[in-house]
Amino acid sequence: MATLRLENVHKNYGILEDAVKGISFTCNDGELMVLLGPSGCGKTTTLRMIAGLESVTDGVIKIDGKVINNLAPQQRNVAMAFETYALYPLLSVYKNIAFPLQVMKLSKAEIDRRVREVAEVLSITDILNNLPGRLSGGEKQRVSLARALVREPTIFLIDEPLSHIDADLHYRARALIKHIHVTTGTTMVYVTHDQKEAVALADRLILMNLGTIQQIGTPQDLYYHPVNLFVASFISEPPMNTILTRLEMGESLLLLHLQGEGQVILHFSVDEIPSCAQHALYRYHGKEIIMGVRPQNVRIQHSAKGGGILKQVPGKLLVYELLVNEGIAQVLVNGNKFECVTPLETTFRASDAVRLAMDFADLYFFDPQTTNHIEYKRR
Amino acid sequence: MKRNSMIVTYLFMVLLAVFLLGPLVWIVMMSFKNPQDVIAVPPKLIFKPTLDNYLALFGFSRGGMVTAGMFLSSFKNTLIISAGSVLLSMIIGVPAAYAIARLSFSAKENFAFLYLSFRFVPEITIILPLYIIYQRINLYDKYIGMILIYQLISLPLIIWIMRSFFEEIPIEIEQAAYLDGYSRFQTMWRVIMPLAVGGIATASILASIFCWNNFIFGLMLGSNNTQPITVGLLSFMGTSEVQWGMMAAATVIAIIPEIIMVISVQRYLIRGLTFGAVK
Repeated sequence: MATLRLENVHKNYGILEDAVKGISFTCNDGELMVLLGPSGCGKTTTLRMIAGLESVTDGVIKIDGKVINNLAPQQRNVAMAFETYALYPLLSVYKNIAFPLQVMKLSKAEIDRRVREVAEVLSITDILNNLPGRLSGGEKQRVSLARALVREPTIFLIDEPLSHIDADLHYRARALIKHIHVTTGTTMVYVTHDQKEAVALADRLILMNLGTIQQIGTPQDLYYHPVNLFVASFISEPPMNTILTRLEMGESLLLLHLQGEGQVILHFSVDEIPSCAQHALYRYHGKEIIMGVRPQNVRIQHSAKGGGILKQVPGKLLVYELLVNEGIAQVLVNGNKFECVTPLETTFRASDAVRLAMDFADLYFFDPQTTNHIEYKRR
Repeated sequence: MKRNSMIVTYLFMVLLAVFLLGPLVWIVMMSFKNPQDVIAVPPKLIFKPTLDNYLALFGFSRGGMVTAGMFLSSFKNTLIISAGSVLLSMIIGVPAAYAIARLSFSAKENFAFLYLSFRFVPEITIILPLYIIYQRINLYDKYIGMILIYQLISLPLIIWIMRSFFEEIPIEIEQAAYLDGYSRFQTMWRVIMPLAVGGIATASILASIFCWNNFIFGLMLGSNNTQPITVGLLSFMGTSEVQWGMMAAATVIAIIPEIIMVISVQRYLIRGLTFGAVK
């Protein structure tokens, strides 16, 4: 149980650029905070600085208000589950879990009670006598979680625990971590590059890129109110479609000219555009603006059917993938690639002529220079 | 085509085996020959074997007493010097290898290279100044002096082999132990050492073999008290005759410990010899 606070933390590995460039955040007592970002964004470095495995170049890390920058890992009472599990190969599962308790000089009976208790929670009682080398990935992961948990640490750090787990076990492993968090109430910092995992687990998440924090917030915040293009495209599966357009605002219509050879225009009636959006977008009148739309919000149909509606744009289908419960189509519109999620009822083939449509309410706009999100109040 | 290349490969391997094992077979045969058979021309492949040479070596036959004493004491000397050298190298080298593998300090690679460079220089180039120094500081013909100079042989081997072993142990295992509350020393002792015993065994045996084989240090820096077996074998070459049979028997006895050591760690030896370059 503890509050973790990072203030303007930097990490430099002796090269020109900092690996972590001044990040600050607070992880509240009992909160599950997810550090999310592409590889090399500094999330694992940040976690390792919290653990004490990396020195802090500049800035302050506090646990419950106490600066811990210069404490050794042993003195921080922080537990960590490693990406590679880092189990002691010569010790049985039982001894692995008991290992952190032995140094605490607890009685044999107390150690035994706590090992069995945590083994029960993680359902590994039946493998307590095995050696780590004989365990499956999922079992190893649970043992490493058990070893970290058994100490009842103030903060529990988890580094990419699911990256070596078979896909079909992902869901269960994720649920287990959530379960541990709920039952123990420990403050957790969880590092991952997988946005699905992050959204599923996080109380709040921190999206990092190139050593800086892009945005901190609940998964919903990041999904519906991304601060910039990076956040919007990262928190989206499949990634958000982003297309450079030229915006034109008329009396009754808002036009988006898609970049490219031909003249392809998305039309929206001003009536369906909230006035605050009109305000926010007005200064881009006649200028370039980046339009974003999630693949889930792009409607697709064969050209033959319907047609003639203003909002629709013609396109040519490039690739159609059938997933388990939906299809994904890549459509070329005037040289711009759109991905759209399609229901299973309609099937498509490559080079089909299709039409795409989308609602204004589903569009996101970004400044082409700063890539910041042009935010306005949504419905 | 494939068949032909197989034949060539096997032919080459047979030649190599003859080249490497031939002298060994020759020596073993020689050790069972009587003096006439040893010097017979052409060499006899079929002869009446005799144990005379071995019996003489251990003092069980006429005139054997003198050589027996010499042989046994130089065997003992080699044992003491080799074991002592490897032990000292272990005490210094294992922590040094760990430091080079895990810690970052300035000139780390230079240190590592310095140790390796001990093996670059042929012993003969430094033996004269060493001889004079040893005479002056009273290390000449002392076990401790021999053990110290043998560090040039065993220390680099142990440092470099152990370094690669330590580097192969994932660092996360150590870091997990730190987070579990174990100090660096406790971690080294309780987590790393158990994983490194295989490496320690390999490195020490390999170093022992190199120490066992050394000739020049024993010849120049040792005398009656510390003369190792490699030098002791020379005494079978007298002014009037060479006792080939006994020399061969002594050689066979002298290499038995090495053969046992090699066989016992053969599996690890290849890995150790490549210094972890091939992972």
